[in-house]
Amino acid sequence: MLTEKEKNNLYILISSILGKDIGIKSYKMRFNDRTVKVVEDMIRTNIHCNNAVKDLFSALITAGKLSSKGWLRKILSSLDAMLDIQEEGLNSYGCSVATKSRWKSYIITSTI
Amino acid sequence: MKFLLLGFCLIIIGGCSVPQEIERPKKYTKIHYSGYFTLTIPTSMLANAKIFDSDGTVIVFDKNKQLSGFIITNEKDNLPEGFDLREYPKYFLELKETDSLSTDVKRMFDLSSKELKESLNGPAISVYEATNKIYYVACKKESCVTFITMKNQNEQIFMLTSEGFGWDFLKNFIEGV
Repeated sequence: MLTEKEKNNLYILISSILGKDIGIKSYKMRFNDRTVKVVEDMIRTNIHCNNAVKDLFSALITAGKLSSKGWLRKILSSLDAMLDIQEEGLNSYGCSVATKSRWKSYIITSTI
Repeated sequence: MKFLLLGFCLIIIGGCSVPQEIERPKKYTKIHYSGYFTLTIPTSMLANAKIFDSDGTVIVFDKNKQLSGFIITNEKDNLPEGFDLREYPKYFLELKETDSLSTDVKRMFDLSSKELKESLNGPAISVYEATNKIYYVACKKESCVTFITMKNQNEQIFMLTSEGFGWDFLKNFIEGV
């Protein structure tokens, strides 16, 4: 069970990687631990697709937070303060829309 | 006695020669992704399935089985006008060098292919050809990403992401295989 703040942070994180997406946002209220796991996998594989992901990884490694599976769930509530992720001014997604679309469907599937 | 024995033999022979009937689904549901691309799913498989839109129709059969279709066009991927989408899977799956492409397009394919390899943990790539379609299949166990191109049009191609289905099963859903 995620708190409202954790759900918001998770959406901000997703949109900082894939860009704002009304479709994903419309499922935000149903984000859960499975969604966190999907996003953790997405961050791992999308590291080259987006500068925001690279920055996120660097910051997490520096802070010693990126240790093992489940790291995202542990830091989700403090993610906004730690990384100062902003919903505005997003970096562009460098991979194909096919890649983005694949992850979008995994994220939404995790909520239903 | 002779007739009884003959009858018994005929029953045995007849029993052995009757071909085994393969049970095929009787009803199918078609999901049209565009004028070109359609999935055909046995209707019985859709009982209890969850269906939603995510840039294309996604079908969740159960927690381990999922199909997700997506139409790719030049506009959607900001590809230059005139880019031949039939080449898209070749670049994406590293079946063709990207060096001849513009910097941005090359980068997009290189990054996407790296992501796919990482995501599917080194998938096996196969290419199958049918009368009018070519299937580019990247599978790791039962996780697959399939690109389908048509020989007679380059307006759009189809990407099918699947979990819980190997290609042997998956191809039954795709018309024209």
